[in-house]
Formats: sequence, structure tokens, C-alpha cells
Amino acid sequence: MIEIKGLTVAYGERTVLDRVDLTIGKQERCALVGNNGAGKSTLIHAMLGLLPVRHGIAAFNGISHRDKGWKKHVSYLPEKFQMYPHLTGEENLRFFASLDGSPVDMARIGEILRKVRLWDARGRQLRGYSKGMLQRLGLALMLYFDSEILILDEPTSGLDPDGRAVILSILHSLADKTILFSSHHMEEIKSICTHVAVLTNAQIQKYTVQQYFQTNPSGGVVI
Amino acid sequence: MAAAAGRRHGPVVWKEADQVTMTAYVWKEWKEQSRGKGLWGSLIVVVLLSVLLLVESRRLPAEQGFQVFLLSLYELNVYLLPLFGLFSASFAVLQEKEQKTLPILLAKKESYAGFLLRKSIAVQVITLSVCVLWYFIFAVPMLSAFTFNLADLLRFQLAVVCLLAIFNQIGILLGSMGTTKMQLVGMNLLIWFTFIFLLDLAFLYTLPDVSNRNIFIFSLFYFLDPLHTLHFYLENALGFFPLGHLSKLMNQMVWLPPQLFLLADTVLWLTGAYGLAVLFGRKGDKG
Repeated sequence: MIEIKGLTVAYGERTVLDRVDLTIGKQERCALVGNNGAGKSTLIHAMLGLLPVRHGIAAFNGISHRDKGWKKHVSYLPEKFQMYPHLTGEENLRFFASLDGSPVDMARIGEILRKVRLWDARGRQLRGYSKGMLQRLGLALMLYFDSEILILDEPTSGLDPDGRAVILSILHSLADKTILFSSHHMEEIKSICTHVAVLTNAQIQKYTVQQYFQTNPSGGVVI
Repeated sequence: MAAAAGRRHGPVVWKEADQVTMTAYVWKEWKEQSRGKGLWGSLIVVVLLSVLLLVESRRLPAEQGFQVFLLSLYELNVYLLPLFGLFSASFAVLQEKEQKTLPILLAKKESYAGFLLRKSIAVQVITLSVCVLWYFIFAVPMLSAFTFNLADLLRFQLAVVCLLAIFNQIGILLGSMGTTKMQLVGMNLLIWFTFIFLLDLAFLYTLPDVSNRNIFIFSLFYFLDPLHTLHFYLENALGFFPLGHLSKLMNQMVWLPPQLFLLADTVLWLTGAYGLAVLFGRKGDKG
């Protein structure tokens, strides 16, 4: 479960998020939509403690982002990430998997690489990966972490239809997770989301996916 | 019972986990650096210049030739190693931002201070190991060319390690502050130019005003420059600058043994640059 209460973020005089409240229940899959520059990435970064917050709080499964221990509940995949290009796909996963200090489960890494269809490319350096392969590797990392809450920033941006379909099918398979992801693609929101959070004018409004598309059939941002 | 055992062994478990993570950072840094061009390109320049200097120095007198050669080799490194340290370390940090691995690490496990500490250790371990290993290999041709002295070689290695470590850490500070490659290139060149040329010009400008009254303050600033301290340490350690016959003014200037100046300077620059990097790069992370 994700709870955001009164979150306020400003760049100098410009307030990007103004006392934003949002609750995403357990196992909900919520799309975060808004025009370019509306503050979607800012909201995600502020929630995760990557940006200073003026007021407010974000909590993951009841643990505030100001306290210790919230990180084990959350996995985050940024937009246009590249990971380490000189390392192979398998080596990248191995490095991130070792972060918690426990021995790396190589059998599980192999299993996940097969699931995201990267087993054959596991020994190749990421310099030779396509964008779709990189996104699948990112999802593989999230699958390895097995956190309850997944936050993804535009996971299908720039992918061809096949690449997008693979990512969506993986996200579909994660029915037991709470997912927040930002997106501009209405079709994918329709197909996998239970809720939509619309960010406009520094405020946020949450709908069920049915409500959202009933009041706004074109899928444009509700103002 | 199990919980009690866990509590009893808590600190040990934490240390082991931390060690696993640290090893992973060093392993990852080695894979990245050894498969890239930067590390090997820098090493080739250092190797070539070392060999050229050795060929040139064969005519030095056998008795003191080794020490003269080591000091010349160090003086050559003063121009190269800071530049290599600044560029390799700063770009290593910038790439973590550009490749978006930093937000993944910060959101999953690390605090910014923890990330920088591990990154610093990994960068230092890789670059210093390669550098030290090269000068031990280079000792083989030195053996045949001069009256070899292992203690002097170790003193030289210490000076080179401190030089590279300090500029690596300053590079990490710059990488933490910078946001683009072009910005970082400018910052690196500015810092290199300042340390190599500008600071000495500033000291030369103030030199005529130095007297008994202000020599301590002058000394503080003079030895704060790591290049001054390292050079002073090495000249003294190799026997070119004995401290037995100094004037009263110079005695006031050198108020610590050269080894302690070296230690203080290295600790100060490493911790100072790390602290500033944490301060400048901090993005409100509390976890």
C-alpha cells in the first residue's frame, strides 16, 4: 500500500506538487497520467526520497520514507535507465542482487532471465542490448527483488509494439503486487490498470479505470 | 531463541552483509573499468613516460641515481596522475547518474552517503591497485639500472598512492556536483590547472610578505596544498631535504615531521572531499 499525504515539492518559486494526497491500496495497479512537465517524475522522485520535499509524507506499507526500512518494500525502475553497459545482463543482475548482502541466488537469476526472455542474451554486454531488452532486464531486476510495491516511470516509452506487449504481459503476471506506473499510453492503461491518478495543476485526482474512461473516453488528461 | 541468537549475532551479520555489498561494488567497478578504455589508456601513458624517463636517466650516478630517478618520476606523475584521477573518478560517479543506476540503488538500498562511500572505496581500490602494481613491475628494470633500495621505492609508492587517492576523491566530489559531461570536463580541467599552476602563483605572490609573525598561517595554507606536502615528504624521505640545518624561519614553517604533514593532508582531503560530496549530492534521502 502506498499513502501520500500533503506532499509539496517546489523548484524555487514554482510549486510542482501542492499538498498532494494519494492512496494506492494493496494489489491495485494505478497509472499515473499527466501532460509532459505536469510533475509525474517529480512525484515519484519525491516519494522515493530522491528529491527534497517541502511538506508532506509518503509511506509504503505503513512505513514513512523518512524512516528506515521502507526500501525493502519498494522497487523502482526509472525512465530511460541504462544500467552498466560494460557488464553483461547477468552480471548487472548479480550486482544489484548482492546489494542486500545475502548470497546471490544464481539459479533464481537464471529462472527470471528465462521468464523475461533474456536467457540467450545473458552473456552479452548491455551495449549490445536493444531498448526493449533493457526494459525487460529492468523488470527482471524487479522480479528478483520481489518487493510488494513496484514503481515504474514510463516502462514502455519508446518501445515497439512487440516490446510493449512483452512488458505488459510481465506486468499482467504480477497480480499480487501494488504497482504505480507513469504512462501516456491509454491502451495499456485500459488493459492492465485498476485505477488512474491524474496529475494536473500540481494536484492529483484518482479514479477507477472505468470512471476515468467513462468521463474521458479519449483518454486525454482530465482538467 | 532464534531471534535472541539473531540479536546476539546482529552486528556480525551486518558486517558480513556489508562486506558482501562492498565486494560487489569493487567487483562491478573492476568489470566496468577493465572493459572500458579509460583505465588502460591512462596506464599506457604512465608506462610509456616511465620507460622514457628510465632510458633518459641511465646516465645518472649509481649512488644517488635511484633516488634522483624516483623524484623525477614522481614529478612527472604530478602532471599526469591528478588528471587521470579527476577524470576517471568524476566520470565514474556521473555515469551512475546518467545510466540511472543511482536512483535504482538509492530507492532500493543505499543512502547517498553509503553509496558514495562504497563507490569511493571501489574506485580507489581499482585505480590504486593498478598503479601500485605497475610500479612494482617497473622495479625490475630499475633493479638493473640503479643501486636499488626497496625502502625508497616504498616511500615513492606511498607518495604516488596519496597523490592519486586525493585526486580520485576530489574527482568523486566533482562527479557528485556535476550534471553533464561537458560541465565535468570544465570542472576537472579547472581544478587540475588550479592545483598545478595557479596555487603556486598565489604562493609566490604572498612570499615577500612572509615573516616570523605570520609564518605559521602561511605554513598552514602551504601544506594544505597536497602537492606541496607530497613533494616535501618525498624530498625529505629520499634524503634531498634534511631537516637538521634549517633556519629559524624554516623551523617555524616545518612545525610537524613530513610524515605527519602527509598523513594529516591525506586524511583531511579524503574526508573533506567525501563530506562535501555527500553535502552537494544529497537529495533528501533518509532511508
